[in-house]
Amino acid sequence: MKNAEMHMLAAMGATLFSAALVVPTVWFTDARASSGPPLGEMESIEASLAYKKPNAPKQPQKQKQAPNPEVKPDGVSRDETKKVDDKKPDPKDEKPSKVVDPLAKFHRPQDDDTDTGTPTESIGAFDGSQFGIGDVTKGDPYFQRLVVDLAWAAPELARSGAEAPVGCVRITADGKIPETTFKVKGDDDIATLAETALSDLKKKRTKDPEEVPTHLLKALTTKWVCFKFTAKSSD
Amino acid sequence: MGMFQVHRQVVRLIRLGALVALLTAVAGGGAVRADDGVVIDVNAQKKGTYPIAVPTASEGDAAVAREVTQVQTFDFSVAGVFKVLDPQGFLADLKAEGLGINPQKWKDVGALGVVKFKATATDIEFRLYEVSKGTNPVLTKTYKRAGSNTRQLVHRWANEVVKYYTGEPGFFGSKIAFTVKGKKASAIYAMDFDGAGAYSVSNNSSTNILPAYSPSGGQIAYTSFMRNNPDLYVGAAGGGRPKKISAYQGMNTGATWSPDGSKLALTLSKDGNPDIYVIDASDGKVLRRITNDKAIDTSPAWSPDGSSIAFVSDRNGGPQIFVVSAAGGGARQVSFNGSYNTTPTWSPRAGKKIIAYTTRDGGRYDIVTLDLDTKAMVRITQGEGNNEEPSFSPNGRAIAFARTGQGVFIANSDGTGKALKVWSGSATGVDWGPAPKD
Repeated sequence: MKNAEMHMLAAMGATLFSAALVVPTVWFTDARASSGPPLGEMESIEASLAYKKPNAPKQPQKQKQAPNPEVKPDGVSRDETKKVDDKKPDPKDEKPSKVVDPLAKFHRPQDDDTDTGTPTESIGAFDGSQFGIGDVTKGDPYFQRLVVDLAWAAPELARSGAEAPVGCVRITADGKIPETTFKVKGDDDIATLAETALSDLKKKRTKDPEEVPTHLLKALTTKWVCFKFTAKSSD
Repeated sequence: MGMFQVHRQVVRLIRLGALVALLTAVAGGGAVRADDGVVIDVNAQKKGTYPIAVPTASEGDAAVAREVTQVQTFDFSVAGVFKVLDPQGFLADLKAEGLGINPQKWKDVGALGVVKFKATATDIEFRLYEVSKGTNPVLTKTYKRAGSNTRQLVHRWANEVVKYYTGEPGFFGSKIAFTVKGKKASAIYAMDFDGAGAYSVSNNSSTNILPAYSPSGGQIAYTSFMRNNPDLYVGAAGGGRPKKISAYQGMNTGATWSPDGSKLALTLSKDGNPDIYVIDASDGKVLRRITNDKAIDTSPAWSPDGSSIAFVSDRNGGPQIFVVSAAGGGARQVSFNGSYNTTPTWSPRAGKKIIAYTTRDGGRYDIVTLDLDTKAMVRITQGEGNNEEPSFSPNGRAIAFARTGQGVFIANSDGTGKALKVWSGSATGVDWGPAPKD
């Protein structure tokens, strides 16, 4: 065998060996490094899935990360909807109302800090062609308050058509509602009531806006936020 | 494109497919679907009254227009299903609209329904609009005025509106019978449900009490002392000489008709103790004894399906409501609130077993309803005088009752709204007659 042949065989062997190492790595590891296009309109949901549900390895992997430290109960609720127990302040514990912390500017923000200020990333402009905000808002207290302010109600005799009306609002970052629209507009009492409910919500939130929290900015302010209005009889 | 890149594309496609499948599954419930914009399902339980506007007519006979508006407004207010909007808030130009409507103007004041009419010398034309349906009326009726009472025409129209929305006949134009108490005697009166046209049914100077309309509405049974004993009479609802039906020694009181009108249940004390009996409505012959207890059993009320009779008994101490089969047998106590519950009456609503009765609470008498299946109680009156002897409207949406020393009132049977007085005076023994015939 000539040297050239031996070199070629060696090169092919090295290539195959490299491929054997790289292909499983690509197959089983996270796709964050891939250069493919994002999933267009569904970026918020994609991000949610990418971070929360990484693919489980199919083969035993060497543990490269230290085990998570044991979480001890510290009495702080992780349920953001849970209200803090009303506790009467102990006069002994009362402190001066204005305590200046000289090291305040060195404090790192904590996870539980309230969202304030403007987001550091660009969230994009409102795109009137897109409806819906995905699953990221499900159960969010901001959203629950929005539904409460919507105050959706229908009288006993209200007539419903075949198709439930779908009404949408545009929410700005400061929490105001400058615009409403109907994606599905019926010609029954429910549609009329939905129109009134959205109009009242617009008035209420424009007069008394609730700032959109940072984690919902992209989801809420770049698309129409829509409600599907239905009412069922009590009998 | 190299093999490695192809593989990466395949991997990406597989992942994309998995992602799409997952998203589809998440959105599968219909709550969230990014592509069609349905994000939040807001589902309300239909509850409360229907906002309806009843503007007066801007043309035609002004006096008739006022009367039509007044009667309509009252009818819809006591129907138990409508909220009549305050005309002060109307934004529409009634003159420009005429018999039509500008839907947006009515939406802006919160109306879902609008009633328009035009009265001329010969007829009255009514139109009902649903603002969501635009400018075309959903119901139109024209009534000839010649020889007809304007109030009755309006009642007929109001019944059409109720039927359009509920599928049930309205009670406008029905009658209420009651006892008017005088200093030495008391008389049976009847009137339109809204208090109009009251007249005496019992033309005697004796004591007459506890009227009960027959199912057809053509007769009224009542107890009279005209022969010095509380005997039961049946007379024409329009008045006239009554027929003595039951004159056993002792009490012949508190009659209630069977749904088919062939029998009457009442209290007889002919055997010494007041008990509930069923008699033939034509001749008073006793058909069967329903209760046989040493306690006092009174105030029978026949259920609309004919199967049961509610009555009052003090067999367990204070007066309470009991229910027994119309064929007789064991009675079961159904009222347990407080120590004094009397004068039961059944709701005519199909498929429901609801009674209304008088209850004593904190020294006052009030009206409550009780669903015998769910045990749900609804308070009809509270904190306004002493209210007694309830009677349901023919469709069960309203309840009439007597307020001591004040008169006859009507209230929604679901406990909403405020009771309206329809007759002023000293009244007891209220009984609401059947639905009017078209």
